[in-house]
Amino acid sequence: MDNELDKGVLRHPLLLWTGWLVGPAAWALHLMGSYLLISRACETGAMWTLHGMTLVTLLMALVGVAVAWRQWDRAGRRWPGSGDGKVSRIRFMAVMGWLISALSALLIVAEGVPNFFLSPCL
Amino acid sequence: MTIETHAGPRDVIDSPEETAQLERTWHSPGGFIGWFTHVNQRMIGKRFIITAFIFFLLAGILGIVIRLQLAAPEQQLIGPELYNQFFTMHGTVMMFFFAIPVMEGFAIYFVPLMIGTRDMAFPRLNAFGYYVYLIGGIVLFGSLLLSMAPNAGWFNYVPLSGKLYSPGYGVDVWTTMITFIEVSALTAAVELIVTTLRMRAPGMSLNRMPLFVWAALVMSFMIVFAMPAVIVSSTLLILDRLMDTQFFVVAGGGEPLLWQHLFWYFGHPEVYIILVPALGMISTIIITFTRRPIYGYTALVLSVVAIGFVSFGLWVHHMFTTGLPQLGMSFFTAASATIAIPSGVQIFCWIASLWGAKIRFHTPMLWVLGFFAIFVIGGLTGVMVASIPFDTQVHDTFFLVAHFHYVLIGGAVFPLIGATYYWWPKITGRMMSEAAGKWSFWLAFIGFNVTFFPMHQLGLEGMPRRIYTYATEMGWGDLNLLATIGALVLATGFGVTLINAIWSLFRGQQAEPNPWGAPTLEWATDSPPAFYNFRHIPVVASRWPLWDWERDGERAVVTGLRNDRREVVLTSVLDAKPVGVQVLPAPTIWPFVSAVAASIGFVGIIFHPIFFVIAFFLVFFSLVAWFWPRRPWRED
Repeated sequence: MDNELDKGVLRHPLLLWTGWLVGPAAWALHLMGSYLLISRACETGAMWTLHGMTLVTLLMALVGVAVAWRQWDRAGRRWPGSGDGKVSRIRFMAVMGWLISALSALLIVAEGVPNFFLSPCL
Repeated sequence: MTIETHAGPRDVIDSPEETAQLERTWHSPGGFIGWFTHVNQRMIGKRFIITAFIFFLLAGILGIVIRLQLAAPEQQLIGPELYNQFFTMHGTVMMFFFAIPVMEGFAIYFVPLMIGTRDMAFPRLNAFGYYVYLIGGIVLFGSLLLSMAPNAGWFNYVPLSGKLYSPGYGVDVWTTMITFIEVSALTAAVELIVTTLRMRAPGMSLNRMPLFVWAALVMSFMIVFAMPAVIVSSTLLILDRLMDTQFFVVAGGGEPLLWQHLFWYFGHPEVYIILVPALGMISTIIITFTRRPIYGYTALVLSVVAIGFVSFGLWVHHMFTTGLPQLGMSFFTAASATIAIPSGVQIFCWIASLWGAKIRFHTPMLWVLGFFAIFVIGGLTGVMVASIPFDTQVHDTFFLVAHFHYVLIGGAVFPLIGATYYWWPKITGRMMSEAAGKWSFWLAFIGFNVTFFPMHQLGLEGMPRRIYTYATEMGWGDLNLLATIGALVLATGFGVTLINAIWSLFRGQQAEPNPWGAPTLEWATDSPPAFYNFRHIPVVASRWPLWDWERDGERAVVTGLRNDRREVVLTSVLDAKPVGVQVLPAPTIWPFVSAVAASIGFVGIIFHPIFFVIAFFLVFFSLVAWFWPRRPWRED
């Protein structure tokens, strides 16, 4: 029964963790990467590196959202409860996954905004 | 190992002889020597909690002396040198020796009970962590008695804490004690992670885990990721001080800001390490005293997980006045403001849970409601200081002192005292007095606000923190006197709880197994539980097992575990399916011996590097004895 369920609902159990991990990893990369690039951007005036960092990591976080959302879709796209056995747990992890990645995407956007207004040399 | 369903209120299937054998197997030996051999998680958890509250009392007394010194301008109650030692010790002890260990203590005591198991994954490591903590705390307070106490503030900034400006032993003691607490916290964190992920009662899938267990799990992961930074920084500092390395010395090519980065990379998550378990306590108490499922379980778990990881991206907001690039600091402002989103989601979920519910206003619930008022104010000033221009104005003033006491006392201590009232019957088998509990709450609530609210104003008027006195002409005398009066009221409030607790041990009403009508597994066993926690490991089918059992009149339990050795059920990470049985070790003195051996090294290195070598061999031999294979534990 469980195996059949797995085939119908899950591609691979590790995919369930994608949303939990990819979003925060993208955000951490953005924070650290941007912080490191500031002095270089000041020296060379190449602000595009900072914008590029925001864009790439934002895409990463959105991939996390998409993978987790797709899992949620396959598990029946209902809000997770505590009944229904395994499907409910899969829904729980999928919903958590895309929300965590979505929050990470929001953080990346919030941190990317000052790049348009502040000089890296201040 | 099988799973059986049976009717009836108590989970007793086996004969009294079998129960007696189980009792013998899990028994912790008595006597003085026996005390040092205990490994049962409830014994260790209780010790963490009691020891931490003793440190809370001692550090609280230091806080009162600080307030008395500041009550009027130009006072000379304690001189500047002692004042420096007192505020350093107050902060260090409250953060490292009270707040983290007490939260770990509650987690060590209650996580195994809430997930329905008999002990933690590595019982001896647990005991080791406790002794390291105890020895560290005793040495730290001993240094105060010998006037060798650290005096460079709880975050111990270089160059002030460098050899040039702090020549005595004080900073060495601080650095060493931090190492003790790091080791202790890391052992507890590893324990909690493995126990939570592999030892949950069958059926307790991730989406059915109690919210306090989620909070403890997030706290543990945060400890694992945050503590190494302070281990590195304190090691570099002690190398600078003892071996003449130059990591933080500008003249030698070092970088003082490195200290601040490393310290706050740990220090900011540290604040949330303290807050997150308190959030779990609040959810637990709200569920019980509204007697209905919490609103937004998934959202609450999400918030705790999100707070856990976002808290690692805020540390530079402690360094806004250090001259870092503005653009770089703005990234941290963005993250600091964004963490208000998950925090807000939690508050709204709790409000929705309370909305329209028949709230029972027992003492634990009052402390939680007090949390709401205080923590929201602390959160608002938090958003204010996340803004760089505002922070630059109030940096190092009493506004900050007010802000972090609002978030730490409001956010962690109030829920903690509520949780103490809530779980007291389970720990001791006695109820605390409700009337005294309410007196305690109101005195503490009023006292707290009278103490710390005026500090916002004092900070805005420019009163700097960490000064032992101030001139009369500054006009800060009245508000400081008010704050000192408030501090005495606050202390009286906490004192009433202390007296209530001691009184209840002798005169308190006997507690039922589930006096509050709570839904989680710790209430499914006796108050206090037997050494084996549960006669049979329970099996759960929802988030609220006790309410299910009450409704259905039957429960499922695991049978077939052996009574003659310490067996626990191992389950899978995601769905908590039974996958095996683990045999846990019996009581032993070796964790204590190892802790003493490690301490000889940590403390001795302050005086001479040779102690490192001595301790290395002592620890090696004690670990060999600790891990010596024992015949009874062979699979037979």
